[in-house]
Amino acid sequence: MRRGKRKSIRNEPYQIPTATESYEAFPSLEKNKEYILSQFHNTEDIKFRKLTIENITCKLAYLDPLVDEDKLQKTIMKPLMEKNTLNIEDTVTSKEYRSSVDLNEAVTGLTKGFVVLFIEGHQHFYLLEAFSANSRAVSEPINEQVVRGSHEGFVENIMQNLQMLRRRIENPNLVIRFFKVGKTTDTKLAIIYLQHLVNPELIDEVEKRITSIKTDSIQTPGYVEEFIEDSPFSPFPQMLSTERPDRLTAHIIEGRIGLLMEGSPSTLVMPVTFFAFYQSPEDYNSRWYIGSILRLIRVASFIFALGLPSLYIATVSFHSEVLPAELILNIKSSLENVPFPPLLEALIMQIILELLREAAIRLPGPIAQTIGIVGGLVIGTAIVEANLVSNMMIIVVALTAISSFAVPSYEMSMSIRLLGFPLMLLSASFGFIGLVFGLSIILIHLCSLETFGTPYFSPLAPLRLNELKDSIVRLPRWLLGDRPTDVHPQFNKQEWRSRRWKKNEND
Amino acid sequence: MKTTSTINNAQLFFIIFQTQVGVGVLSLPSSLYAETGTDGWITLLITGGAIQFIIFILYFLCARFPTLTLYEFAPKIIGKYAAGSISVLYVAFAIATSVIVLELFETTIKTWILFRTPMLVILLLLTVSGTYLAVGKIKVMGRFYQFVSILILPLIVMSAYTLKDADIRYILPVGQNGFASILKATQNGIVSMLGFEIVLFIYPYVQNKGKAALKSLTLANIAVTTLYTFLTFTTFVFFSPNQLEVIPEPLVYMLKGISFVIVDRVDLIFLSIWIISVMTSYVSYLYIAGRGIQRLTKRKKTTGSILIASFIALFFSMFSHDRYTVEMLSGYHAKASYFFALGFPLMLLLISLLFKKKEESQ
Repeated sequence: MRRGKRKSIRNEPYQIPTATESYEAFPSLEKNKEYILSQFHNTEDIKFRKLTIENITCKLAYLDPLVDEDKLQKTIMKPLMEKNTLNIEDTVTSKEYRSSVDLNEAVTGLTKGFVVLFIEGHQHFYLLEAFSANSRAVSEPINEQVVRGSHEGFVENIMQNLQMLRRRIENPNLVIRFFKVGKTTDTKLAIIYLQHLVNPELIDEVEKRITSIKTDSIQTPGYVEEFIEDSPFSPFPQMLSTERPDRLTAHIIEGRIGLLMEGSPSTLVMPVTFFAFYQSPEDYNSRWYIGSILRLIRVASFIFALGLPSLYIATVSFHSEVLPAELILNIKSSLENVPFPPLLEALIMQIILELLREAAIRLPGPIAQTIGIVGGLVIGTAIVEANLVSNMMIIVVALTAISSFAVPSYEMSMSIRLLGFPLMLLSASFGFIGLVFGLSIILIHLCSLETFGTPYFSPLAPLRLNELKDSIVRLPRWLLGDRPTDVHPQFNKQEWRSRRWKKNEND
Repeated sequence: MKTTSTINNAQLFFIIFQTQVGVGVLSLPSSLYAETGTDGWITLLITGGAIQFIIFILYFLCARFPTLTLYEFAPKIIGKYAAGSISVLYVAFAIATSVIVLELFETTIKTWILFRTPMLVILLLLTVSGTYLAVGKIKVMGRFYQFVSILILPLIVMSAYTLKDADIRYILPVGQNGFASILKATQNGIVSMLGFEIVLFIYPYVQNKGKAALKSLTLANIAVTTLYTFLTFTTFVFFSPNQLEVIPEPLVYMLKGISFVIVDRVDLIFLSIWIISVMTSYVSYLYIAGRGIQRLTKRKKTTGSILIASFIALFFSMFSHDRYTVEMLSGYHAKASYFFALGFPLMLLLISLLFKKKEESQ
């Protein structure tokens, strides 16, 4: 017992002083400076600038890397020097202005890009915003490209991201709630939703889960996802991660909640169903037949990516009699010189493929092409000529890989390929029987998975015929009168007979 | 934050349907043939009528206690101790049914697909996946059953395809063995169509009770009767009476004979789909047994009790068995099932009517 207790004390994460405990400021400039320096452990990027206003010495303190020089000059230093008055509130043109006597608040403010103004002989000081909002230029996210449609992508700056969303939904009902998470990093999280639409229980639940996060640091949205998702051991992603503002907007308008994080361009959508991972914003930009066909192809790609190698393994190693004679002759002749069982062949090829994929991501563009040629052409042909893997298996694995990359979400495509491995083992051991049981277990898991009170495999299980028209296919927009009900929005209607002009037309 | 644990009426329909369609479908045509010759398909229609009658009894019993399962309302009707023993019997019956499903499944798989795989492994495949489904509770079962019911369509298409080689003269003249033998064969029909008694245990979870639930039950019965009659009829017009006498699983043999463009052995596909139907029946009985054990041991969660039930079923199915012992066992089981599907519920209904026992409405 005692040992455990001591250990837990030792493991208590180091905490920077936040505004929770207060420390009263001194009237003396030097003492204040001393305290702040000691709180920052004499870091060298903290700057102090002396000013004289109304013949009183003042001091500006700021963390140099966080502060925008332009803002500092234009909104703080220039007005102070020109007007030369201690009426700070009316002088400074900075966006945010606060006055305080708690030095720890000054310390927290400094870490967030505030400039602190101390005045000799005054105990209270001022916090003036001069945050540097530099971020990279908006560009299309490379992992979610579309042919037609918006080419805007989120950036690392949360405010700019929120601005993109506000511009897309110009509505006072769009609510943003900020959270501070992480004892050391004090990361800014934001959830965004439409107040008049979202199920209030859902908001409470999301807020409850976020506020219960107690951790040292949050570095990517993946941390948050793992803290708040329902089934952490499920192979399926339960929150949609997207870098596209149009995709996030579409989900917010369906009554879901978006989660943004400072420092990351990828945002999370919750709750989502399985089929959200198979939808792309561009579906709504093409003719509805085309959008529907594309969606059907993606659903087929799910089945191929999951089951094709195992179906092949089961067929050639157990039930080759299922195939007609002409086909089986072709397959068996390509298998003839291969010394390995089909399972091993498939594993070799799948692992080579995953290696190639992983290597190609890390390398810069031109070299990645070389990897493509070496991997695809050289290994592909050589491995067949060396009789290590059969022609058929190359075709099957290539088809599987292509199918899995057709999924618009990267996490989902990885999950599916990984789920293929246990299925391959099962079908190599028990043939079709193993495959059927493996697929049933996956299906049972999909049926029982729920995220934030929403069945994950809706609208297929539980079956909601009315919602199939905007999940597996995409019917014209004017036929989609109701929102998906899986999130229990406060009202269902989303379209009010937009084509009624047709009735009034005379022939 | 969880969704409600209720099932809608479509899910009720599919739960009943999938519980009824199960292991028996393969051997049904030959067992009917043995009893009443080529008139077996008429027997099934009559059986459907008889089952409808039982369904009314079960429904009236459930409707008197709309928020309670049999394990919960039995004590209110016949007192704690008698109800306890009936509950134990029901649990034993459900486990016995699971054991028979497991054994029939194992023999069929061994005969048709995996000849040399150890028995335990095949049993484990069904037990593990079935238990995983059963612990998901009734709403997950409802979703799953509804989803996999789409697989019945290819079954029908495959069987319908064989009708091109059918000869209607095989079943003529209709009624050649007399009405008495047709009626007598009804018991063979009822045994393979058992499963509707699950309504006694899931009725409290149905969203729209009353007439809508009765409609689902009736539709499920109609669907099962139609499906079974169709399949039996197909085999009877496909095989000549002489052939039927020697074939134990006519449906599979029938499909073995046909081939499509890229599929040469349709029977393997058929059996792969049939596995799902077996699994659903197995899971339903596991659920009944699990709920009973939970109720009797006064546990809060179902998961542990369902695990216990599946272990017991696995244990008993592991005893070495040949075709004949299985047949003997299922014979006893068939006789017992009359009590569980009809006898006990009828008794409970009569007593509750007599003493005006009813759940107090809130």
